[in-house]
Amino acid sequence: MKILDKSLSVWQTGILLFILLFANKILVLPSLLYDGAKMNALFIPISLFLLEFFLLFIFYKVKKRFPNLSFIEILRQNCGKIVQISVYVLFALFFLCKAVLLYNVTFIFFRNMIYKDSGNFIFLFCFIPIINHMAICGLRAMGRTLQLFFPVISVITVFCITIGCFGVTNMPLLFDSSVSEIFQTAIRHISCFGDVAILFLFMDKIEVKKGQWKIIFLFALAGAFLVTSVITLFLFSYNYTSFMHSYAIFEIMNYIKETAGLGRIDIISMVLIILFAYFHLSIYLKGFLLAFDGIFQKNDQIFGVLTFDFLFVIIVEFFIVNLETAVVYGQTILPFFEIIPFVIVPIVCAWCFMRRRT
Amino acid sequence: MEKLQQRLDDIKEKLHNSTDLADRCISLQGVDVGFVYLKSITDNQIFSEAIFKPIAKLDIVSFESVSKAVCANDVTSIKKSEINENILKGAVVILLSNSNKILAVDILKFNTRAPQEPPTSPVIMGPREGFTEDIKTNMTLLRRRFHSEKLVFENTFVGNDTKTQVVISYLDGIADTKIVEEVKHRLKKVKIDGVVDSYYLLSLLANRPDSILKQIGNSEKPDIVAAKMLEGRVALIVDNSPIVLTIPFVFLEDLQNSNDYYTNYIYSTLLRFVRLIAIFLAAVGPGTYIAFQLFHYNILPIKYIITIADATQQVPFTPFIEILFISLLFQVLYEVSLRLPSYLGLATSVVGALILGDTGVKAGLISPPSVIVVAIAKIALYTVPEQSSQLTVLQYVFLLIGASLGLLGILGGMIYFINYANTVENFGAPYLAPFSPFILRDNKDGLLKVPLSKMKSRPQSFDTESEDRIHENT
Amino acid sequence: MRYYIRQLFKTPMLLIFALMTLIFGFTALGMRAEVNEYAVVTALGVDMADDGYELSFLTFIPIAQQTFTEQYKVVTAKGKSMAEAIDFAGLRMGRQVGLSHIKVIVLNSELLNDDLSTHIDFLLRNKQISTSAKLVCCDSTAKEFLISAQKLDNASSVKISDLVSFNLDHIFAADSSLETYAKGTFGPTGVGLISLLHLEKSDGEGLAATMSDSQSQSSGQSSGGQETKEIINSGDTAILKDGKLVTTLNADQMRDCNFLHGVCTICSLEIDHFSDKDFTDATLSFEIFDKTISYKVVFENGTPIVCVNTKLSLKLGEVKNSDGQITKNVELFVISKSAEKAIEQKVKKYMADGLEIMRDNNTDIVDFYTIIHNTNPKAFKNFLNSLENSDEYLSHIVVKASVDVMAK
Repeated sequence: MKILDKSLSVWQTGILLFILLFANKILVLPSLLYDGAKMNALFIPISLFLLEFFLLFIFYKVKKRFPNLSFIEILRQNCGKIVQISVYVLFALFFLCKAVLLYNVTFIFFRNMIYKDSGNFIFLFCFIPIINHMAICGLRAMGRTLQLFFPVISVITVFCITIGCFGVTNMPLLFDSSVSEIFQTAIRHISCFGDVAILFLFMDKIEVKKGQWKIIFLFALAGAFLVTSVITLFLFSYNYTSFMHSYAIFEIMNYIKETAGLGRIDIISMVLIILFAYFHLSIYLKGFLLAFDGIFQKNDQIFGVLTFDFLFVIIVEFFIVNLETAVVYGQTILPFFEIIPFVIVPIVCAWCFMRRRT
Repeated sequence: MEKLQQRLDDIKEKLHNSTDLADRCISLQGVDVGFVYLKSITDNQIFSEAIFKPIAKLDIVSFESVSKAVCANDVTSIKKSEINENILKGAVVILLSNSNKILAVDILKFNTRAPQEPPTSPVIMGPREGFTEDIKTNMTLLRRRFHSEKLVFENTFVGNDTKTQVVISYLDGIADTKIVEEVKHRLKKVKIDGVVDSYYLLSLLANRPDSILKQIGNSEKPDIVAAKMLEGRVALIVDNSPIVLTIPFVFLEDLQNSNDYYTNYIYSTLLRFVRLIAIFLAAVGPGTYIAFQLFHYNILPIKYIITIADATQQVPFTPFIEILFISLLFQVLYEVSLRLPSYLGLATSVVGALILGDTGVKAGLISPPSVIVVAIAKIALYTVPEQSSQLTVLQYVFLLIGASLGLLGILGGMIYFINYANTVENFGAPYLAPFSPFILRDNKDGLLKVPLSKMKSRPQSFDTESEDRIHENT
Repeated sequence: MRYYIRQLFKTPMLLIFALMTLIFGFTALGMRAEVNEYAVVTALGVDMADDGYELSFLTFIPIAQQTFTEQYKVVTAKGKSMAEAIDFAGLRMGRQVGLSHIKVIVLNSELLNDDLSTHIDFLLRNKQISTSAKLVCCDSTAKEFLISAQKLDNASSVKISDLVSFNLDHIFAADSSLETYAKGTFGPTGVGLISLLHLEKSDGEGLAATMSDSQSQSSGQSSGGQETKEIINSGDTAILKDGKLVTTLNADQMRDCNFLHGVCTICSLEIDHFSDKDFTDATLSFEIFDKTISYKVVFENGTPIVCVNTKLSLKLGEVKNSDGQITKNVELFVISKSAEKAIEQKVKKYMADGLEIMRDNNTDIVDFYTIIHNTNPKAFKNFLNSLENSDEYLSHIVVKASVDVMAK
């Protein structure tokens, strides 16, 4: 069979990566970046994306070196079972926490903008069955669904950016913050990055033929470029008032008089935010499930899904109730978890490489 | 040797002395010759001219001489156990008192309609003939399109009681042998008392019979079936059914229309986009409208709010009840117009659309925007009539989701449904191919259509024995 | 039935989704349309009251009809804070107040005397109110203004929001909206611009609306009256610095400033007493249909010198010759050297006047601050430090103007 192999095609992997790179970055992040580093915040996504690409490069090297092995097998063979389980526990926590942050930011956006006065309950009931279904149905179905929605997502994103360009009026004050401010802000908001790590969890299921790596890199580059464009556009559109506007992709559509004849076109960006929310949460849940599998070595998806749902609902319902708490959670707790993709994974991979060589 | 009359009586008894069963016994040179047949499905003239008269003129009456004397195409010697089966298939069974051998002569004949343009898929340009209920006619219609030894008809019978003839038809060297074998295997596994129409086989052959998704293609037109066979599909012709099934099936097939191939390709592309939009409108139109009314007034433009608010002021029902009521009204009218004779159907359409709709609006029972939204959605259903049943169900599902969860629910429902469709595969073909997984070559005849000369290969969505349609060097 | 139930249990996620949809679906059967639960406000007026604010809401009232014309009412409510006033307004209207469609916010000019940012804090924070809503102030009460606007909205297709937003390209140096005000005020110059509209007794000049002074808002809702008042937009603009009113500029003064500023493009230019071989003591009116301004900053002895180059694309629109003859086909008019010089001088005069106005009021409407800063942040910082009062940098920078004229 040509198409029906159990693996994820390189195109689907690229699209998954493209979509994942938007996670947590196009709503509250640009506003928070401005708050910390003024207009120099522009450099933060660029530098953090460089880190993300470094992780992707590590993935490329690992996949090339161990083309048919899963990450579990690589870790077990080179680092031992304890290290493997520890890394996978951290991975599970990492994806759970990222899902919580993403859900909260999106939930607050929905509550403020389109579901006035609605409780958390309705959103949880919307999201949980659908993300569970997507995660349970497997990577192949998820990859195909993402592939089908990719043209919609990319066209809407490009449309939002194009429309947003009309909102740039005057030049803001540049170079108004110090390097230390930029660095501190970058560290504070690093929790929005590091999503590439999910590729390690299903690396054995990705089928990359010779010369196809560039497709993955191109999709990742396109994603990073579009995210940076949204952030740049937002900062240039709102500059001194950026701190007042919490929902970047929505806001850049909001202040455009050229499209006044169409009425409220910001609904288009809302559709995009909803689609992203579903897909990002599904991918995070899939990441959690794969990590869960790696810990217990049982192929019991339902158990993993129930565990995720339980922990997710508890955290969301009892600990994070508003945007302030969500932002504090994202700025104080989550950055520690970024050690997993940006420190632990590179170290472990380097160790595996060295073991192989000796 | 048993007496001939006794043997004839036994046969009649086994067939419950059916009223259309005829038997005749004549004596020729001391040999009794018996004929048994069903009057309702045999050709009386052939019986008298080609069978009875030549036998009556025989000087020596033996099994050999009788079989030689019969002027018919299909003359076979059968066993005693096969007598009933042959009679039921329209053969005359001839028994001789001096021989244990039995002769069956096929003179099957019943009234059948001539190939006409099927009402389900009319074309503006292109062939107008459609399949009939007669399997032989249907095979002829296909054979006429393939003057090639590659066309294969394989016979099989399904149904314990009906013993319905099913012909597996495919092009050897083009259709994948694994798919052909799989079809045969599944047909063999079918255990059912009867197959009255080809639709009976749909759920019996589908990979996931529980699914709402249509998983086997069907067509009433020989040109469409021939085109699908050329793409490497297998056709199932079922006796007594004008609908021919094609396997494997992908959703795209219903987005395509035979008209697309007989008009300009750019126009066809445009129409396919229109169909896709119509599918979208049909499935989620009313649901989205109700979601905006109940949850998201604040993201609607002010002019639209004013229209909606003014129009719904006097409506005594809540928006959800109102739209449910209009949807059900449309559905009832549809059912009525479908079942009534055409002249009455027209009357009900007038009563329903003009009188009920207009008066309902004027009486303030329903609002004009709701009527428009539901009407658009209901009309849009029939741009892809093959999918209308699935889309109708989805329309109600999305209406419920829209009313209960709003836009978030509708988009969630769409993702759920598409993800579910992505898990379905029919005989190795992903349901939503060539969109997901994206297959570039198949998209030449996907949502976009290129000229026929550029479609050099067969679909990649499922396996075929030969990929090339246009051989450059021949 | 058992089959369906079994199918649902086979796919637990579908079961949950179906159950939840059913539960919420039953509630939806009884839910009213949101448009009937909210009073959709299209314009908001803010006045000071004895102990807080008096808010006036121009709200759309749905009426069962087939013509779908818009009927508006003005509802007022008082409160210690705007949030409280909105709550009271909701009680009066018997509906929740929907602020998401506010297009115009009218401020009583009294509000400009204090820090406006604190007054409109609620409006800036509220996520329902779009920051693209036009922000204007008027010399009478906002309530009166909205009552006039109500008549206007009910009577014609020209909405008050259209009247206000039209000015972006024509009169203001910048759009007058919540967003632009906030951008200016929170920016480095602290200068915010708000359009100033007038409400005057009708003399047929502006868009008229009938209203009665005697309308008491006891029930909170207004009705029609006799006296005619007009909304006059003469292009006046209130200039605020750090949220406080500094001065009010008229349309001419704003035009002067606009020749230093790239945002406003469309206006006209008149040359009086012009004579050359074609004209004698003529008055030429030019339509400016494109204006490009570029800035170049150099530092000389630590002082920033801003070179403002204005490129104008002009079209001769009207000629008033002293002998009363039309001597030139305006379509074929080529700007002569002498005409070019006259235009240049005129524009330079405008620019000088504009700069003078900004210097006099110490309000950097053009935002020279950002222009200079972005060229050389360090040198500009040194320059500011060298000043006694760094806030008065405008008086110490040198502005050189040049004008390029193109006829189209």
